[in-house]
Amino acid sequence: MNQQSAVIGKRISRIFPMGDTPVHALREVSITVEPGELVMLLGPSGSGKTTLLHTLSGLEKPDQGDVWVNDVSIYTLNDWKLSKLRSQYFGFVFQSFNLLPTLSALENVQIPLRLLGIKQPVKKATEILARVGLGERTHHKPSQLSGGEQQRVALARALVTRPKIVYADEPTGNLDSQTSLDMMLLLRELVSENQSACLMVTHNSEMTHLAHRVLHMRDGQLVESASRAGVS
Amino acid sequence: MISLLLRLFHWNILRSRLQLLIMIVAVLGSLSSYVLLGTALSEMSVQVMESMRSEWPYDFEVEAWFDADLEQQITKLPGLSRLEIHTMTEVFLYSETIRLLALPKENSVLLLELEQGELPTFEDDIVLPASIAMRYGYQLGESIQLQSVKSINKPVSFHICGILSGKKGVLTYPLTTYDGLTRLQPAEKLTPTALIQLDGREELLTFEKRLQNIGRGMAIKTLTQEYEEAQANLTLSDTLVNGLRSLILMISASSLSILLYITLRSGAYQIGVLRAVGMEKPWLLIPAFLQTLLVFNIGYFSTYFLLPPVAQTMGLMTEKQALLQHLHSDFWVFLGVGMLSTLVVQLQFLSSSIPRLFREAL
Repeated sequence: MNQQSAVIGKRISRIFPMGDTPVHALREVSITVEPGELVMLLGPSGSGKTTLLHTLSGLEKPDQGDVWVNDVSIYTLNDWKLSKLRSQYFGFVFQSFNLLPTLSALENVQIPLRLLGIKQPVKKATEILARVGLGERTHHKPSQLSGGEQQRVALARALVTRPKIVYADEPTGNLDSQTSLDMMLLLRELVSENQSACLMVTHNSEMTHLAHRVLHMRDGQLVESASRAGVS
Repeated sequence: MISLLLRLFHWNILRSRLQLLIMIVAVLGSLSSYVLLGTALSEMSVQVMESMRSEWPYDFEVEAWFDADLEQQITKLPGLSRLEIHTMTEVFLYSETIRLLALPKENSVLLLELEQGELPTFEDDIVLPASIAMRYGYQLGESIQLQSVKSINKPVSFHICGILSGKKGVLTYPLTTYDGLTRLQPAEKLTPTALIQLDGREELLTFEKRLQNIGRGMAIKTLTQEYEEAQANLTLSDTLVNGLRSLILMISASSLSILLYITLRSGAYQIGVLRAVGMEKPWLLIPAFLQTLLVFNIGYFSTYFLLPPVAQTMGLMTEKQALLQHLHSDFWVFLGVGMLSTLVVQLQFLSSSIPRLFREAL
């Protein structure tokens, strides 16, 4: 096992019971994501992309296989420790932003900091909001922000604790093409700055040029892998 | 963390104001029906039990020189339903020993229904029960000779001013005035008797021990004849009342659980997100409990103001104060059920996997 890897998944299988017929969402998938690497996961609906992301991020226990982070097989941890691990090492960006509507942008970004008991949460949240270009809108509620701005707040929330890896599930799914491109550029920049890894599930094949590596999934298996070492 | 939890609570409340309003109305409705029906049934049960008692519906006779302090001490004993202080003595009528009572106070439970004449007014007036009048052939307006059992005075003559009805439940002892009693026995020798009726739930022996613990030279006599029957009747009524109340409680708990489920489900995605970013499950229970607490408290205060006029409109005889006391004690049962429902519903969400919460919310 490479100790430098952000996350390692080994022979992961996940089966969903659908009536009498079990559906193999993942079939012995093995994957490694390195620090600073932006990996895109592409594939048709139902190919198992989101299930793989959930499994690697400690949200859904696989039926077989292991997920390793920091030399720890994460599914051997109890719920409490797994929650702690997620808040310490993982960041999440979801398609529908999922900001709490009664909290301002600044308060939303502070959530992971407060969960971890990190000192000076306001200062750190303000800094990262400035970094994502929302320095002037820190006290705005989500309803007062555009879709792109809300997703930038969600990105700031995911990165504020400098996680080892950011899991992004269709982060540009609700954004127009220009905003999506801006968002992707920002995500790549921040991930690189933090030396975090990023595993992103997307349908959008137009953005693949921004990834260090593109993985394709079909019927619960990784079928193709393309490295883009010289990505700019 | 506390401020974050308060914000989450705030978000819970604001997320769906209509659902919140519906929940408050549901609490108001179910709490009102629980209190109203429960109170009415309990009162009915006590009334039924009292109506099945005999003409002498007491469980203890206690002879002592009562003062306000002693009376208060006895009144405070658990299990006591009624306390009346009477004056009475034993007299000879021919060869028979009978009990002669002074006219009781207005609040007495004794039934004094006259067949003829009127209640005693003067010291030589006496009212006879129908059974004695019939047994010895006495008529209204005639005289009767009585002699005290406890003194050596000559027999005293009384004028029969009334005859009690022979109906079931009507007093079966003769009655005179207090001054009439002093003609047979000096006032200083007329020891007052406390007549005690229990609530049908307390055990006789337990209550007797409590009475004995008070001390103060009391002579205690236990009347066991009808108490067991009263207890059995009350147990039956209590079972019925408790069964109906439990039914209301279960229906209320189910409907509140469904409402809670709907409310919490609308925020399932966010619960999933918070769990994904590392919020531990127990913290997520707090905003839900606070929400239930808020809803139930608003429900309680709404019921507090609306219940008395509703009860009055429905013709419930219970006094406002008693009704509010019932509301107050029943509220804690209700709040407990509400909290339990919240816990059950919230555990449903917290035990689900996070991806499942995401899927269900879509």
